[in-house]
Amino acid sequence: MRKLVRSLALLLLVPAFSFAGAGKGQMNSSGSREMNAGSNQSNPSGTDGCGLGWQVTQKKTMLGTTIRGTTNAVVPPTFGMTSGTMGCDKHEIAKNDMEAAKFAFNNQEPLSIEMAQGEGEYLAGFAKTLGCDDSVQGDFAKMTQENYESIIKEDQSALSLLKNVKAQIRQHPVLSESCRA
Amino acid sequence: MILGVWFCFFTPLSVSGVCFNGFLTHMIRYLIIALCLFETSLFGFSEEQLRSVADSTQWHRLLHYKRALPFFNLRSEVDGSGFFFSPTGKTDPLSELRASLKAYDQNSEVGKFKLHPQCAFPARFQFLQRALHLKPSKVKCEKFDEVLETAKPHSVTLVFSSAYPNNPASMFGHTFLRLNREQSTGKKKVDMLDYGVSFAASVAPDENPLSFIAFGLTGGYRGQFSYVPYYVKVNEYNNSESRDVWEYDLSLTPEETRFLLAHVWELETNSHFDYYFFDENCSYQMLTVIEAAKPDWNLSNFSLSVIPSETIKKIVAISGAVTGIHYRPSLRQRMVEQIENLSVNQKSDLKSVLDKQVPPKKINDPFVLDAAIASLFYEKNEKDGMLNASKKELQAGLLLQRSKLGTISGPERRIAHELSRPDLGHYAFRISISPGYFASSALKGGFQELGIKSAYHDLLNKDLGFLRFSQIDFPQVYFRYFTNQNSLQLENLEFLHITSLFPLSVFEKRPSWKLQLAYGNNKNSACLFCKSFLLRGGLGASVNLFDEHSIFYALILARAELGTAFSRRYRVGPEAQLAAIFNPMDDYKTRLAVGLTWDLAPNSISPWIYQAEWEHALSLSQSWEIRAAFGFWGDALRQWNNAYQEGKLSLNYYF
Repeated sequence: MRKLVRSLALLLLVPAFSFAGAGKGQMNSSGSREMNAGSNQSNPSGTDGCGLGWQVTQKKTMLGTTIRGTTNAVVPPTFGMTSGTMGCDKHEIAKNDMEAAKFAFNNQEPLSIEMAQGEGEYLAGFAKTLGCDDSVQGDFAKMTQENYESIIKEDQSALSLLKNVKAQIRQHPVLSESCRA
Repeated sequence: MILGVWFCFFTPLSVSGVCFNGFLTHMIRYLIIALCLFETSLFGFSEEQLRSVADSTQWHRLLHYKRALPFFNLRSEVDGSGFFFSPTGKTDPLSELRASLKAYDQNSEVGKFKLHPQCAFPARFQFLQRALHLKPSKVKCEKFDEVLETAKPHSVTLVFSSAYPNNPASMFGHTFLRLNREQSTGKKKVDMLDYGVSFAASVAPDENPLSFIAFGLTGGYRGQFSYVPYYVKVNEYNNSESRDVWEYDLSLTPEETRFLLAHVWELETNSHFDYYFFDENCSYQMLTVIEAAKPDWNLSNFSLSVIPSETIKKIVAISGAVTGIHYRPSLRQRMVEQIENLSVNQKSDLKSVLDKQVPPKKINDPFVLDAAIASLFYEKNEKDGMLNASKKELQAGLLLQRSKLGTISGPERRIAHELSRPDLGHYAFRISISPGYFASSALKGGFQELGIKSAYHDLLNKDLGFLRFSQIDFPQVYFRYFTNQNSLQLENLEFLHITSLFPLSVFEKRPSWKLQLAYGNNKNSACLFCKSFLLRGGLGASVNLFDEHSIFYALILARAELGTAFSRRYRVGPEAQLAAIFNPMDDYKTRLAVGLTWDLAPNSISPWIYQAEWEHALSLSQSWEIRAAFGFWGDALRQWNNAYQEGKLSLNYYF
């Protein structure tokens, strides 16, 4: 009863949201995003990645942001998808590297920024997925900055980034001992 | 059961009138008693035991039993039938308890993953094992064990994401949980890989506004828990949407944390909730799952709407519940601070490199490069993750150059920027009492006004805890008793009033906008105390005046009024509004506004009408505030003398 009364009273919000929707920009005509592949950042190599299997709605229109602002509406993954990584089976990724591959794919841009800066949280997380001991986080960050040009390439896939980082780890006196790669 | 016991002990043995021998009588009596006890121990529990568990707080929390109103019946808020073993489980805690106990040992397959009941409901059965001393489980639960193994939950943090820029509706915020792994001692904790538990409505991204409202208010969307690494959340809220994130560490023990995850698992893999915007929403379900693990805490007893930022205030108010608070500024906030910390020369270099007048490799200042990198990263996120080719190239060049310059220790955080911290803000619900006076050519006198507002934040409220220069007000109603006229009236009913002011800057330009729908006494007509509907909305621009606390704005609005106040029953036309807000001290604000409306109706007696307002607000605490307001409404061409003026002094109480 309470819900019904409130619903009726607040259906008056319809004009508000209609206005909001018409206001800033139009809804994308592309409609709903694909449910598989891709992360919430652009991947120049297309759909080669290991997504989490769903997409955050990215609409920057007033209505899109209002929907997200008031309900946090997305189509979320269930528990069943935590261990599955859609798209990863297409590639030859060792089981050990799966976490690192997922991390690289979903965080490619912040990772490249932190590598350029030589420090940061994403780097620390990435190092952990590579099996690096907590004590060598600083060495890891430094290594990525010093070898930035060898690791980060134009229009690169996440897997290529991972491969390059692993190669650098193997050559590094400290990291080769303390990281699994 | 009770009947059986009674029977055992009080049955007369001389049933058929035959008198038994005394010894035999006692033997038979003992035999009957022994049989009754045997029957009891088959099921294992006495009626009192079962009732006591069925009435216990934790059982009710695990099954989400609530009463809609104090004397209504109990009813579970869980909406899928798969959550209940008993057909009457949704309304009968004892029946559900009995059915759950029966299911405990059964080899059935339940839920989304077709698991043994003990594995489908790990929290429920863990609770029952403790409460009723059930024999330990021999069932192996691989699926849930895998989840525990990946997450390794050790403690819980309640995370709040605040408002987007330029979107007042997002001021309500959003909350979700982060399950923290054990921290290796002495090291800075890596949050990124922890798992986040969030509750959201399942809405297609291209849903149309009308369906959205209709379904969202009436529970037409299914709510689901999602379970993703924290980096997904940081990318989503902090970066992609530029929302500040506040993390509140809670005092749940590792065992309670695992229990919480087990409960989320059993909810999500066996059932669902219908999502109701106003009360059973994202932040409400966070509270109910915390309460299931912490039965001593009372978090979810909200009488009306559940606003995420208000749920944070509630948990902070519980002594010992919050053990630490951390701030994660939004991408936009970080970018703005990085730019503001640059010197004039550095800012000029920044502009040059962003305008592509100077190539990145000519810049040797890491602070300038970091600000440029942040700007482009922000721009990319604003544009749905895409940058044009030339900007992509610029970013690549900036990053490459930056990698050659080593690390820097960033400048000190400006604490004053922690404006968005939700537990410090004023409360949402407001009651106001205002004595005032009014004067027009025909009538004058005093009035007493009583006002009630359901939510949330307006332009004169203290901004701590909110988004500056943003207003979102939901239904508010004001009654006035006019003393001289001895008249009690509905003065104003505001359905909705949203304003978003975005000060233009060199680096970012967005429009400001406003929307208002109201019904009440029209102060700008020949008829005093005549009511009309008002709908106005439009766009404009704002700029900061002296500092980031003050603002000047101009809006062009479409304005429509409908009612008996006008001879034609309506008045339509464009309105121009100019206003300024000053905020010289944290607790005090003042606002000046003038507006001029052009009545488009032909042969209108007074085609140009104006209003002018001057308001003050003094915040005394999160709950108390004093305001003063003066206003003048009239006909710009003075064709009638009904210039109406009023003033009032308000005492506002927020809770």
